[in-house]
Amino acid sequence: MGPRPTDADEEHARRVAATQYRANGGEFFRGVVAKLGLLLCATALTLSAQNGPAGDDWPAYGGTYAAWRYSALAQVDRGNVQKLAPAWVFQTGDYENGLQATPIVSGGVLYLSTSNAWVFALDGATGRLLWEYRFPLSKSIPLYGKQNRGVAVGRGRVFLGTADNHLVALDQRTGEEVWRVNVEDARQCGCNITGAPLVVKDMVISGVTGGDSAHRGYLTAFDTATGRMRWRFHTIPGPGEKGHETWPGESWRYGGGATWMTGSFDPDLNLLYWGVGNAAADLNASLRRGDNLYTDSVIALDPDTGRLKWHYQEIPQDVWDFDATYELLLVDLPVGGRLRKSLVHVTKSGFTWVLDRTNGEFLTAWPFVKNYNWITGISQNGKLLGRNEPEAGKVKLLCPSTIGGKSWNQSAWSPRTGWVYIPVLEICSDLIVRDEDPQEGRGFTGGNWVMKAPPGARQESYLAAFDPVSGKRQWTVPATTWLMASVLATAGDLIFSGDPEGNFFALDARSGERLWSFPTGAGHRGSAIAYSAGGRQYIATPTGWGSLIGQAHAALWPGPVPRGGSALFVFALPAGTP
Amino acid sequence: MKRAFLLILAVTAVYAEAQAGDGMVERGAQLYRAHCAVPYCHGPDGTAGRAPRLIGHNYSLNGMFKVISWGIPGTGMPEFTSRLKTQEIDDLVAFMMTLRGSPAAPAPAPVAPPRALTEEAKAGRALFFDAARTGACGSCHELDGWGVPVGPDLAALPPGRLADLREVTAHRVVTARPGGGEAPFPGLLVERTEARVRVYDLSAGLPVLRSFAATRIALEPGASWRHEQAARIYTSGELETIAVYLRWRAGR
Repeated sequence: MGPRPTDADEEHARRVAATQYRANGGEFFRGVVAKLGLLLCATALTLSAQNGPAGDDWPAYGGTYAAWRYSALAQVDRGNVQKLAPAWVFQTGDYENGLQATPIVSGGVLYLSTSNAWVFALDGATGRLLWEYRFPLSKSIPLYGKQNRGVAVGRGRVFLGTADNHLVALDQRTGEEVWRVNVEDARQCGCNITGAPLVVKDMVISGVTGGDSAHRGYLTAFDTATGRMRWRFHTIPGPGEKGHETWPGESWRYGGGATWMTGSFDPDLNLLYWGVGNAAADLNASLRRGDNLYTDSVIALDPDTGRLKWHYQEIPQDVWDFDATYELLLVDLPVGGRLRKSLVHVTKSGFTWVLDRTNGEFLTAWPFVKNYNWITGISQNGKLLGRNEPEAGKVKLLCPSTIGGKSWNQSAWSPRTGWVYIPVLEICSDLIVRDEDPQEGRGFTGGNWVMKAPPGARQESYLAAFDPVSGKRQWTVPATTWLMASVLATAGDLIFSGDPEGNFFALDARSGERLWSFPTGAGHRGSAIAYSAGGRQYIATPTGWGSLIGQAHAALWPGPVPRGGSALFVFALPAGTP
Repeated sequence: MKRAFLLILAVTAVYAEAQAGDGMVERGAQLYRAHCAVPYCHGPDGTAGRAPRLIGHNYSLNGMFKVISWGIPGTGMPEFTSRLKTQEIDDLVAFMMTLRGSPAAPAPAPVAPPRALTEEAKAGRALFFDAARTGACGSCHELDGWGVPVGPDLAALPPGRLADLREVTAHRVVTARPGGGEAPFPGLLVERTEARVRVYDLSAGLPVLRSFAATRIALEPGASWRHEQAARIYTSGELETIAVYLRWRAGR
């Protein structure tokens, strides 16, 4: 395990942080650190509309560039959440694969996208449809299927990635198409765009899937006004580039390294962070002996040039399909007696890595799952200990499963509690390795997997609160089956999420106590948000079961299959609620 | 119950010889969901993923039993004898046979095998679609089901036009003058209505299909753009190899 600060160190750091923060004159978030009994001032010293909590709007995929999924709105709180009621509901009519998006709110208008690449602009207060757009999807959809996790909004445009690998820009006011780029022919690359893009300065940045295909991943920046490509960063270095030596032979051409989720951005450091997916073939490294840079890494790029500023590889030569593409929470944390500009990376491997986001230095890593056997632990300098790899000719039960210690549904961080809230999966998988020759754009997994319960334990899922530095679990709320929807934290000290059974619920951020629940009638696989319009706070959640992994529900859980659908439920306190 | 009843009906109709006992198909359906429907394999309905489509398959009872039991070596299909009990395999087979297609369904039309690529043509094809180069030929030309159809259909060009790929004339490229202070760019007109103009912008590494209000853009014939600029990511030797592939293709 990584270095553990003593209580005295932490106390010192927090006092320093508090002093600096007061000196900074920023907004003052109060919270109690139960362990120390201290008043904690928010650790983020650089709060702004861009890289702290979300305010009236929800401008980016993770709320803001910092990806906290935390709203500073506190009209709805622990005292009145029981009165929360639907204000309006919007039915998209696109029932394929459910509604997986994070809605974006800009200037009181809510932007929502669906699996078939339909986009809607809705009045945030009333749900009135302002415009809609339907992209003409081709029939050639790669094996990642039709999924869409949301749009990006900025510079007067709404940006959409499509299941047939186009990036599209719409006029934010009218919904008319302004430009589109076929990022790479999906029939050739076997890749597509399922994640939400990110607008940084005058560019829109988009990743791609393809990590389980014979494909070489990349991240591409396009000019928001014209659609012209500004730069492309290949996650696998080509001949002559540093890191290419970690790929023998031609393996670099087909080595995966997808960028299928959304990154984060620190405007002060001018660094763009993105998580890079697994190496391919997923379970079989026989053709790629080496570290396989920059798969399973966090990369930090200069957004102006696309050049690599630093990288940190969490898992060299991944053979477990442990994409490192999940959320990168930019949080300033007291580590080892010092307040560090940190990056909290909750990953598929069941571990959370904490890095110094200025330079990529390893700070600590901790398991958020109980069941892991792919390694025995992580050393103080970040090395993986006791690697337990799948083997050819054997069926090996490894934990977490290839679905991950969590799926892509996002965690949240609250500056009021200082805790990170993670939807955890305790599931393992039998891994079966086989040799496979890469065929460009075709599936290239190097084996198969069958989901199983952990050895000597039952499979389960829960929402839990963790201290982001020590990894200490603060509370646990078990799910009936599994939790596949993102988490939302608010300054009302509430944690929101939804379950496959169709319940959208609110928990007390400090105790985990369930305070409110509403049956929406369809499974939850999207990401809830908070926003304000006309002085009223709204909580919006997509509903409707779907997704590649969601399809596996029946394989894992008895009882009814979660209901599909595609509706946005928007809740608010009834008018006049004190 | 209704679903199970229908499944059993289907079994009776299609798979009388199996004499599926009570609950076999139901149990088999559960096993299917647990073992076969996993992501990237056969999918929840036997229609998805990287493994073959199972709805309407033509396996015989024995064939299905054999494949499930022993797998298909060299492919992603694993064996299940070490993972399932005999009865479970029987249940799974019973369910799988409910997905069988009609024996009267016509076989797909045979496709003539393509003439084998010569080594040089093969190398040319690899360069044409080289994913390691952003802006490779395939990012602007579609050919045999790969690539992005922006530029001319190369399959329709006579071999004589496929000589020096730098000297290709690009008659259709126009000069687009957008309003709003943006500099002119080389464009390929896609669509012009009274209201909108849609034009490919060829000025960057990947073509951009841009859409303008008709009043906001003027198009002029001719452009300073040359195919040579797009071909610059290749050496002259590589371009010759690509031309060999295109001529081979045109003459096959």
